[in-house]
Amino acid sequence: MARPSNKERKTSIMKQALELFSKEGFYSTTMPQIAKKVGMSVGNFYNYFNSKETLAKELIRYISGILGEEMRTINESKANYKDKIHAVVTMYFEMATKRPEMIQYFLRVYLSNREVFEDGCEGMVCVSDFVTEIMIFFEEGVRCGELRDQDFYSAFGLFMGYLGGMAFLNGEKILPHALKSYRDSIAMNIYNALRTYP
Amino acid sequence: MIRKEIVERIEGEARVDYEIEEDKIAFAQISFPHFRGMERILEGAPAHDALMITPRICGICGHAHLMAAVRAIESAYAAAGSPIFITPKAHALREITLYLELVQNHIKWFYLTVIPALQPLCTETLPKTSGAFAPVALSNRILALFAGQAPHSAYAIPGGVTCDPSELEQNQALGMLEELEKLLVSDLLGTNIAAYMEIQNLEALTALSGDFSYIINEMEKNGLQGIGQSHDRFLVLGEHTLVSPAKITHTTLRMVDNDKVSEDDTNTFAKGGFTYGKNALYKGMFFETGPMARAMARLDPLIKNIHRRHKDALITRIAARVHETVLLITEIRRLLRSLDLEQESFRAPMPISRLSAEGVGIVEAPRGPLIHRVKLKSGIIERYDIITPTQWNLAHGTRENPGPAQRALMGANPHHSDIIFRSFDVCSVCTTH
Amino acid sequence: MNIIWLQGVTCNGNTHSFLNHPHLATLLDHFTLIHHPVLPCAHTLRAVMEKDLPCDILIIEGAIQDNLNRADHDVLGRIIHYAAKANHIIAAGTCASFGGIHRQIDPEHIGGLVFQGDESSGPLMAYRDKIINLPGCPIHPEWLANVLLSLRENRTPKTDALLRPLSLYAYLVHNGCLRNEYFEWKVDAKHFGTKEGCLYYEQGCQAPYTHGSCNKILWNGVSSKTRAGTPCLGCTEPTFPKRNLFETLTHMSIPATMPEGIPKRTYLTVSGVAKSFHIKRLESPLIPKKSDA
Ligand code: SF4
Ligand code: SF4
Repeated sequence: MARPSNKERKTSIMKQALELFSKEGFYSTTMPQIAKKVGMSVGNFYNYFNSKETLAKELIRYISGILGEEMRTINESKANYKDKIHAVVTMYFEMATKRPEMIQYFLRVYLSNREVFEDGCEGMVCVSDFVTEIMIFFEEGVRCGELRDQDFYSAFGLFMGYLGGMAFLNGEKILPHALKSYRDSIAMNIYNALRTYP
Repeated sequence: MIRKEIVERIEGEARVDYEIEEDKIAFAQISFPHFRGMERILEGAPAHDALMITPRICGICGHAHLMAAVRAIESAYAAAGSPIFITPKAHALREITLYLELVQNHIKWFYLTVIPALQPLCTETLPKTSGAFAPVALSNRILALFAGQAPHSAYAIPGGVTCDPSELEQNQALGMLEELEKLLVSDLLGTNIAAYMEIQNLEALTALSGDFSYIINEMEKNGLQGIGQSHDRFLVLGEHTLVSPAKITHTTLRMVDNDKVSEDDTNTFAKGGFTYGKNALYKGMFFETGPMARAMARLDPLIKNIHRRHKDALITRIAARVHETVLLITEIRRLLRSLDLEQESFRAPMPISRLSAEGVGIVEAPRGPLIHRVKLKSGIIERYDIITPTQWNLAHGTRENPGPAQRALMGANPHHSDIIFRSFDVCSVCTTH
Repeated sequence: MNIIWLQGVTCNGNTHSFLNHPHLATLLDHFTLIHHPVLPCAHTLRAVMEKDLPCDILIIEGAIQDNLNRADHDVLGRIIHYAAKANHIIAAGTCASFGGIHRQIDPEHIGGLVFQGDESSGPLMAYRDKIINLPGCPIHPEWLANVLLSLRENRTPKTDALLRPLSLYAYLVHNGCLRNEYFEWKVDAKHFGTKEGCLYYEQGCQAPYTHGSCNKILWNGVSSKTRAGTPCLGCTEPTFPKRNLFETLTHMSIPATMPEGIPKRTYLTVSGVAKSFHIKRLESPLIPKKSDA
């Protein structure tokens, strides 16, 4: 078996760290814990990430990259905005179900511990892959006349706040049904809130 | 006998049919053959587009159109109960750039219009027309320091001006103004500004050595001083630092009421007539507008002195314009010095999309009052009406009640028709916007 | 070289702009003005209309309108007459180049020499090879002077697809604007009347997709619209005049028109990141006022 490359190593560290962070929180998770989980000596581990902050920032870039990729596929599809919104909701809920740690990390670590991200992850810097695609999503929706023109953040907040809120309720096991079962009605709600009215 | 003439080398083109009886002009029918329809393209446009489109009505006085447009929109704000208070700095900047446009206009008119038209009537060789180039370019350069460019700036907007000059621009402007003064002193006036400002009568003026007095002297020598008298009725409608609205009949000054201004289109093609020019009237009467009117309203000692002798003749009309140039420059300097750069350039008014009202903007353009009337609905132009100064001066009346230029031509020697006509600084492009 | 300057439907702005050239007299020494609407010249308009005068360079100012008469003659007919004779034809200003403001009035019958907006057609198509477009509303005096000097040296300027000389129009008006750093770091002008901030995000600046050297060869030698805080109105382009020019057209706060040639995704990535940083220097007034304290 070939030795895993540096990049593969890093990815595997990030996956494990993601789980720990999203479960235990940022401050309760220590570097030795993560090293242990990936089966590495602490010294070697530091060759990959020289601090917990660096790792945390890499992680958010990693998640934003994956979500951005997914959004880009939707952006480039030929569907109408009703279907596109449905596709985004589906994608997000699948992510929240299959890889809950990603969404949980975003909500519990990135949004809750802003101080960690202050230096180097200001504003949108580390989530720009995702935000860029969201901007394109909205901009093109208005351009083709399917979405109503409004301030970016009023639309962004509605969309992401709603999805994030549902993922949070799901994570807290408050939802009586599976997240998936809310998909159609939520997609319809969002579409109705954002679409143009004749 | 009818002599048909197409007048070129004015702003655009005009057609004059002279009726000549016993070697005198009995009547002149003036028409403007071109039409553009600028008001129409404004309908349905967002209000601010008037700031871009209306200056393009005229390449020589576009800045006056910009000022009239901005005043019209600001007056609509006031009418809607949301008045705009621009800072004294913004106001002064608008006056400065407007005055600079007047200056370049007057210099062009003097060298490029008056001199060539006078030459055939004079015995001596008159100054070269190229005397206009340097001062014109310089005036526009100072204008551009604040307005970005000339012609066709769009720097005045409801709420103030777009530029925020520092001491640098202020000093540059003062420096260039000094340069401009030098040019005028050496070529046009033949004496320094302070000495010129002392002059209060025609004798003292003709004693100078510059192009200005040279032309005045040539007119006298060749018997041209008394020609071109008109109704001796003047009108000023715009409010500025140098002049206030007034109606002057002979020498009596009265207040004016803008509601008494009307337009008459009975001669236009639309009404089966022969021109695109509409007449502008005050209380149903024709008035002469422009620098001579402003001088009379200002009770200007020098122009009143000339007027006392020659009434509203060619000589007074010409002198008033050149004289105004000097006053403008002095005033520009005062305003430049007075600029308080600490003040804001612009204060954001209520969003225009919430504005539904009518407004009127009146400006003293080079040739007289320029009026823009606008009707806005939710910030969109529903109607836009423009009355230009040439509509006053070149108004077309009847033999019994002729317009100012017609009146000036009637009874004149046919050889003098060209200079009399041009002394009104005809702007055909404005007239038939 | 003999120049004839004729006018279509115009405001005379190009004539007057040309008069602002700082060395007009010297420039004109190199040419013979057979006719010009304002400048001293050899012949009247009537003579140009009625006689066959020499013409090496034909300059047209204003849009072409069917059935426009001047001095009792059909203007277009005379333009075609001299176009056939001339070695070069210059469309001075946006109206002659693309139709401009005056085309708005009647797009069916008013337009440019060989362009109607950006569509290539027009009454002078037979002479397309001789045409140089110098759009700008008005024309910049130095742009015209520059082309005249090239022609005098028997150099024909290289042009773009819209027949605009590359030496003048390869640049964007954005190049050289004093607000470029604010553009880079996405610092918007808070409102009109400021020295600071870029006018692209709210005030409607068209310069990032408008070709011309307004910020390279300054207007009247000293300034430009954007330097005076006025948004560029895009007057050198066939799309001039667009509507609502003092406001940026946005879709959900994102400028609807990207800087020329920059893909949206690329622009949004870079600008989203740039906007995240708060750079104190760029957010502070250049010259503080008492009221800023
Ligand atoms: S104001 Fe206009 S020209 Fe200047 S940097 Fe911004 S976009 Fe470019
Ligand atoms: S800055 Fe823009 S609008 Fe102004 S003259 Fe140049 S191209 Fe035209």
